Amino acid sequence: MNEIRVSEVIGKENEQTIAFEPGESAVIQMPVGYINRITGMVKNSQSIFLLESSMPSYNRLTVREQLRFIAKWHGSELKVENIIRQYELEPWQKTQLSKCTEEVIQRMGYIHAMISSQKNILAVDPLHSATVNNIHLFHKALQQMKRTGKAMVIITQSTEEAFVLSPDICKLNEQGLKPVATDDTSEEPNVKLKRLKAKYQDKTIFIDLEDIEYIESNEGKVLLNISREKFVMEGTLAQIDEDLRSYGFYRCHRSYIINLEKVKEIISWSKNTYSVVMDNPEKTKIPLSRTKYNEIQELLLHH
Amino acid sequence: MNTGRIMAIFEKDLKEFTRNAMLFTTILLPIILAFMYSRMGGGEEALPAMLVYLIVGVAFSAILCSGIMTMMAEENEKNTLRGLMQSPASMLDILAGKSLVVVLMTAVSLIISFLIMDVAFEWSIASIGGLILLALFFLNVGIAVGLTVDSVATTSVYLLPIMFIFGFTPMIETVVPDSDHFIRRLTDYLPLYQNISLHGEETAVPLLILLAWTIVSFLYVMWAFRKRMSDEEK
Repeated sequence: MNEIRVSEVIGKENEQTIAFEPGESAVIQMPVGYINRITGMVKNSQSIFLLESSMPSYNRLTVREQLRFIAKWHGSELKVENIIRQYELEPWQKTQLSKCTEEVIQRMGYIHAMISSQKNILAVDPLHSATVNNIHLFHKALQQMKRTGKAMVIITQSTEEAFVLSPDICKLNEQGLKPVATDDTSEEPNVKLKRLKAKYQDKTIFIDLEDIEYIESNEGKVLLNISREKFVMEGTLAQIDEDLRSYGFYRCHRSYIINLEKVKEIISWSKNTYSVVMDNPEKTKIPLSRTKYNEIQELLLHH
Repeated sequence: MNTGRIMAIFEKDLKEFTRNAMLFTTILLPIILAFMYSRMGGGEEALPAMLVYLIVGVAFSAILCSGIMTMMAEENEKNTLRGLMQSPASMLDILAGKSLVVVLMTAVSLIISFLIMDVAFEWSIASIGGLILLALFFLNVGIAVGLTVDSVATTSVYLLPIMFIFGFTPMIETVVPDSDHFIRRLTDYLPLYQNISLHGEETAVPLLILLAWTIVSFLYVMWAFRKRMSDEEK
């Protein structure tokens, strides 16, 4: 099996396929129902390695023993010592897997996918509650897998997570597979305002600008995010961007406007994949377009 | 079959076996029994074949059969074989590697038990052949059950009858003392009794009966393997 037919996933007529292409990685955002369906389709396929956020492991083996076993089983040339060093597992190498943290177990999954002799890898929500360190290491594993000609398809529920993996992502919904555009054109600001209007059930509420964390556009809706809550807004993102530009807001991505006051840090995952980390308890990671990487830094310094 | 893979599984499972208290203590079972029986007769006269084969039955059912059954059940329960399976051949490698572990562990346990009991009788070619057939029988049953169950807890449902009927066979004499009882006449055909008979004059008939048991166990394991493989493809 080298491809997944979209029609089988969405249950409608569709000519598209999700293809495993050697040396390439495709990142696709989709609803959880589709993810479950694809996982079910692939589970027993012997030509696709299924990487989930939590891989089952042999709890009585130590990290080093498990790696040696996987390498030997898959006949891998890679040296276990090098892997342990590259993936920062030195402190854990003599610990039994039953006593390792979730972070280590997740990392072992990345390494298993990389070592596996299977050429096609399907990663399901690989960054689910991943630490910053694991996100970096997943990128490292991705690069290594691309170099060895593996074909990867990464599926995830969260758009932010998808953008952490790649600047070019696709979205799968009832209409099929569609690339998500990331570039946009900017216009001049002209209106002054203090609050924004949003809908909450049957009420219309007014939100102070400084409370807003970020505004996103998702499936044609504009959503305003304040500490874990989302409110539907009227208008388009372009229009809101125009209104808010002079109030310390910045459109860092085609689908996102962030409050510069609430930015904690910027992380670059790879050459052209960046995230803005928000200063909230979830440390939400908002995608940052590669074209805006320099501009936002200027703004954060001088604004 | 891929020797590298078989060895990878062998090394991994040897570590797991020795670190799993439930499996590791099974090795002690025949040894403790051997120790007790060797003291019973005052240590002077040689132990009867029946007691020696009771130890063999315990070792084969509690280590060989239960060991591989439990190890496979644990893999099924935790879904750890996913990521390793690439073809039906992978499953054969896994089974071969695990079989090596339990065979080794059973051999170690039996040798120590025999040394403790100071087993004196002669091992003819027929009796050694019988022992190998018996080992294959228990191994096949263990693998077949291991392929079909989905959790360690379910194995005990299979393991208890297997242990009582095939492992502790000579114990039936204490439960049903009347040797003409139809249960006793039926149990005379159980594999372990054939091994005891192999030390007598007549060897052809017991060997044939043992062979029949082993063939049946092979059919069982082939059925279980086919079933598992067709389930995997769904």
